[in-house]
Amino acid sequence: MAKFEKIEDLLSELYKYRKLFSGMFDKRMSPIQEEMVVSLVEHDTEKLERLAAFDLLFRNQGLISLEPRLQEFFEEFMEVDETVHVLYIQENLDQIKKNQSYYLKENQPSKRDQYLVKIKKHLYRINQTTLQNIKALRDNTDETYKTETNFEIKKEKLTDIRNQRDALEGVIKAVERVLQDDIFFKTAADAELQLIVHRLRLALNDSIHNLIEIQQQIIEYLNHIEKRVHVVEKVLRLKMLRDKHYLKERTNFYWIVGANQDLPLRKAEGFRTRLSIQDMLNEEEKRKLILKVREKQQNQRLLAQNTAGSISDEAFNDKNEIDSVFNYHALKRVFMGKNQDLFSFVMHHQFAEEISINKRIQLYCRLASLFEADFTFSEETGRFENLEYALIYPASNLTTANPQTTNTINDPV
Amino acid sequence: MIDSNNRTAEIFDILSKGQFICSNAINAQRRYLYQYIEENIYELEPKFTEIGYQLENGNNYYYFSRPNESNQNVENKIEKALRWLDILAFFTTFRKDLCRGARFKLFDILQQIDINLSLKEQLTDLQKRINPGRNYQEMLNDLIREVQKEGFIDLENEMDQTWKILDSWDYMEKLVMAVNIQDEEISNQPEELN
Repeated sequence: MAKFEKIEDLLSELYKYRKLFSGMFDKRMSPIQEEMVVSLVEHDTEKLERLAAFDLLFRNQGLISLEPRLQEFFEEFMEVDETVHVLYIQENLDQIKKNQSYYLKENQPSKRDQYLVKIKKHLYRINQTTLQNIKALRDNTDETYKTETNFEIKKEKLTDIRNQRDALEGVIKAVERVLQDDIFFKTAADAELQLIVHRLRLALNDSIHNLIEIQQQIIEYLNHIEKRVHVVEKVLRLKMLRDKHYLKERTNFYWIVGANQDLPLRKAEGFRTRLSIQDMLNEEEKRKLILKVREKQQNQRLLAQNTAGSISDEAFNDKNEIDSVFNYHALKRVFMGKNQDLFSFVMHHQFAEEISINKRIQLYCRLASLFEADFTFSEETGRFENLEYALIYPASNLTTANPQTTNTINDPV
Repeated sequence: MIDSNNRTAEIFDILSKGQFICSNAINAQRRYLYQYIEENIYELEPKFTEIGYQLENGNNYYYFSRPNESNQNVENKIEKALRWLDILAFFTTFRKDLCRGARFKLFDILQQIDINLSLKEQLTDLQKRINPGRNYQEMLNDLIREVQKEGFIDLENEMDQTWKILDSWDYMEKLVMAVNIQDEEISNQPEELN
C-alpha cells in the first residue's frame, strides 16, 4: 500500500482533487458509480486508481466512495457527523486521567508542561465531541421518528437512540465528577486550564439539560409508537373477526355503533330551506338569480319536452263552454227588480251572446226550481208556441203585478 | 358581533353535514375555523345545544352529536362503521404507522398493492360493490376520494398526489379502540371514546 511521505503531499493531493472529494462527500450516503466522477479527474481512471492506492478512496466493482477515515475527518470538521460517539469521550477521559497521573509524578517542568498540554487538548476534545453528540442525537431522534417508514425498524432505532442517550449521559456525568472532585483541576495554577475547565463545565451542564429534553422526546415517541401498536393490533384483529363473521357475536361493535349519536357516523342530512318571497320580489340580486336559473332551464331539452302543445283555435271558438254557465243569482236579482213574469223575462233578456230558444226555456225551468221560495207561482198559464207555462212573478211584486193574460211571445226585442 | 354570527352559521353548516373541523386541515379557512371554535367555545356551545346539537371536542377536531334523538337508522350507521373498519384495515396493512399528521402518496400504495396480496384483495373487496371491473389505480383513487369526502384526509400536493391524514382520523381509531372483544384479557384496552 502506498503511503504519503509528508503531510504536504497528502494535502496537495487532497487539494488537487478537491472537487472530486467535495462531490463525493456530498454523496457520502451511498457509494456512487465511477462514471459519475470520471469527469472530475479528466476522465483518467488511473488517477482514481492512484487515489485508491493511497487509501483516499474506496473502490469496489465500479462503485466508489470516500475512504471511511477521510469521511469521518470531513464530517467532524464540517460538524455534520450523524453518529453518536460515546466512546470518544470515554477515551479522552481515560487519556486525561493517564496524563494527569504522569503530570503529578513528573518532576521536570518541561515534561510536565507537555502533559498539561495534552490534558488541555483532551478536555477541549471532550467539549467538542459532547456538543456534537447532543446535536446528532437530537437530529437522529426527530429524523428517525419522522422519516423511518418501517414500523418495526423505527421502534428499534428509537430504542437504540435511547440507549445511546443513556450512555452519553453516563459519560458526561463521569466527566463532571472528574472535574468536580479531582483535586488536580481545583488546584491547577494554569489560568488557561481553569478557563478550559470552566467552559467545559458550562457545556456539560448545557448538554445535560439537552439530554433531559431529548429523553422526554424519545419517551414520548416510544409511547406514541406503543399506542400505535395497540391501534394497529386492534384494527387488524377486528378486521379478521369481521372477515370471519364473528364481529357481531364476539364483540360489542354493533352495540357501540348503534348507541353512537355522532353526526359523522350518520348519513348527511340536508336542510330544506325556501326562498323568502319577500326577498325575491324586493332584491334585485335574487331576481337576477331567478332569471339566470330560468335561462339555464331554457337550455334544457327536458323543459321543452315537458311543455304542452299549443291550444287549438277550435278551443277558443267553442261557445258551449261559455253558454253553459249562467249566473243564476245575478239573473234572479235582475228579475226580482222587474215587473214581469219569469218566462217573458228569460225570453227577452239580453245576454252577452245569442241564446237559443231551447236554452232559454231550460233556463226558465232552472230558475223556477232554484228560487222557488222567492217566486210566486200564479194559477194562470201562458202559451208559447205549443208550450204552456206557468206565470211566475217575483214574490214581493205579486200585489202590484200587472198580469198579462196572454203571453204569446214573438221575437225578442 | 356580525363577524361572530357569520362564523356560527359557517361552522354549523359544516358540522351539521357530519363533517369535521380539524386543526391540521389543508384549507387555511378550515384551520381558522378550528381556531375560532377553540377561542369561542363557551359562546358557541350553548347556541348549538339550544337547537339540539352537541359540539364535541375530539383530539384537535370538532364535530356534532345529537344526544336526544331516537336511533332509527342503526343499520346505516353500522354499515358505515363497518366500511370505516375496512378502510382502516386497508391503510394499516399498507403502513402501520399511518396516523394523524402522516402523509402518503397514491403511488406508494399502488406499488405496495403490486407486492402485497392482502392489500390487493382488500382493495378489490372494498371497491367491488361500487366499481366492479376497474383497474387498481382507479379503484384506489376512488377509495381515497371517498375517504377525503368523509373528511379524514385531504390532498396536500396535487402534482405528486401526496395526501395528508387529518386529525379526524383519530375519530375512526377511537371508535375501533372502544370496541371490546370477548375472551380477551380485559386489561388490553381502556375505554376511550368520549
